[in-house]
Amino acid sequence: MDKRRINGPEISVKPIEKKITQTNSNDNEIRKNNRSIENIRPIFIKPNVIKKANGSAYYEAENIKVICGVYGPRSSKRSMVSDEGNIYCEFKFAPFSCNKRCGYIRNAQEREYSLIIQQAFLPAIRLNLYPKSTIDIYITVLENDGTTACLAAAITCASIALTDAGIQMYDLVAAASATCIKGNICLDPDASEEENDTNSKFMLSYMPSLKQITHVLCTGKMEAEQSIEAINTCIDACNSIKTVMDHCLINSL
Amino acid sequence: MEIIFNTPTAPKDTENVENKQNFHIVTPGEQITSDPAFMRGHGTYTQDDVVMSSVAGVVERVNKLISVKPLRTRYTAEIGDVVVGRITEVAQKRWKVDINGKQNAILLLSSVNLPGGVQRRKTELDELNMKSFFAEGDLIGAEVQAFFHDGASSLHTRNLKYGKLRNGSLVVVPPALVRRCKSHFYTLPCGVDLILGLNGYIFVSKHPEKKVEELSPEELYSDKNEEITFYQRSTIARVCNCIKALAKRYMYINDSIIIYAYEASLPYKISDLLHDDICEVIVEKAKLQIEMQQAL
Repeated sequence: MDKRRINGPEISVKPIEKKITQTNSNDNEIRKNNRSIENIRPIFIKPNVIKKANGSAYYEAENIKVICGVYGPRSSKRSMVSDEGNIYCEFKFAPFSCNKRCGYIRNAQEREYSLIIQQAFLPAIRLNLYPKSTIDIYITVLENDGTTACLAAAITCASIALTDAGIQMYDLVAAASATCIKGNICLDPDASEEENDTNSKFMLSYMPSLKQITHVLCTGKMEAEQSIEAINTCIDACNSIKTVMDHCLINSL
Repeated sequence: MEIIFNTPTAPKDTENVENKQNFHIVTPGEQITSDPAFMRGHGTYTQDDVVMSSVAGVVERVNKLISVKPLRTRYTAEIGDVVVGRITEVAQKRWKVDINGKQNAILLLSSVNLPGGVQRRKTELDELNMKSFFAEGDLIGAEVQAFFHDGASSLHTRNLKYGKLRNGSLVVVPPALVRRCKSHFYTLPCGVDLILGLNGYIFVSKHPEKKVEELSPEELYSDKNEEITFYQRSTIARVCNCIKALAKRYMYINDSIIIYAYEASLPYKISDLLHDDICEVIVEKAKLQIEMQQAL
């Protein structure tokens, strides 16, 4: 319990939520949210939303809402002798973002995701141009609807924010997520599809113009053929996300 | 709280603008040209003889050199630039200065004028007293003298124009808006001094009563503001808001446009200057005056 903050009452009642009863006409459908397996949620991205940051972006895809701020390149706090710049990333779920309230301090999962995002951007940013400096990326998830999809959204959003900051990159980084439901690869899974722990989760970040993969994350059981299929479908999804990113960047200039 | 409504404006027709002015806008990773005759400049890289963009911005072509200029980026120093910076750290024989660049700039103790003559030797006592010249948080005006091998810039203040800044206010604008001109020190007709730092830091201050040459060494490195009258304060605030208004409308900034913007702003209250509508009126008026002068 954090004494320095205003905490909620100890006894609290969960608000009565309206259950959304989806009338599934046929149970044969693989997904319950009226999307086909290769369908991703419509994306909205807006750069330059935080005035004080060097670059920032807001990302929204239905119930996923992510905001990202980029500070730098600025002089490293610790004076290290290095020819290359370095990236620091902080990924955080806002306390109100998930179904279960999460704390102010980053937990193990958030720290792991911070590292993944850092790794996803290492090959894309021209760090040799920024010696002795740091690029700080701060990502906050405002609403979570599928944790893997949130991670993919965070990478896409950070990519726009980095471009907005005028940081030199080899290419934009787009990311897509997938899950395996009953042997089918479904793109962009939401929270209800992720709840089932037997479904494996898959996330891929990709540089569309250079045709290079920067990071692959796979958790859960997945056959070799399935993972290859997942990689291919995710790459297709990344290509379509890239067109959205390009469009939003050109419109913002 | 007072609520101000802006007059509705039609949404910008971006595609039309692009076609009319023939801008070539690219995003990172986009191919610019595959012609090997072109050279790659800033904001680009080559992959298999293809010139690709590494930032989002407008393609600029000078003869065979292709570069991409991003709209919002940090300042890249060039030798001879006048900059305004803030001291962030006092280290061994040097100060670290934030100049809105990729790295902090460095001001060596050997490249400042110390009180008591230009040709004076630096002693160990000076090294101990460094904080009394410039302390953390102080604003200084300086010139970029050289670069270190790691790309950090070295500043100097070996001129009475440069040195500690006081009696005024700092305005931060995007560095791309400040153009290089003959001089970056101005005294406006409205009675304020202006330093246009090329790094986008602009310092607006009251015009000193004494000339710089007449100042005593203690006054040169003083932290204390002199007495500033209410009228001077409001003029400084008005000039600051005019600069902010120009930056808001992405207008380039030099002395003449600030003077015109100041004149156009006179009918309005200082606190109202940053509302979008008034901004637009002021900037349009200033722009018109500049164009009229150029036509003459």
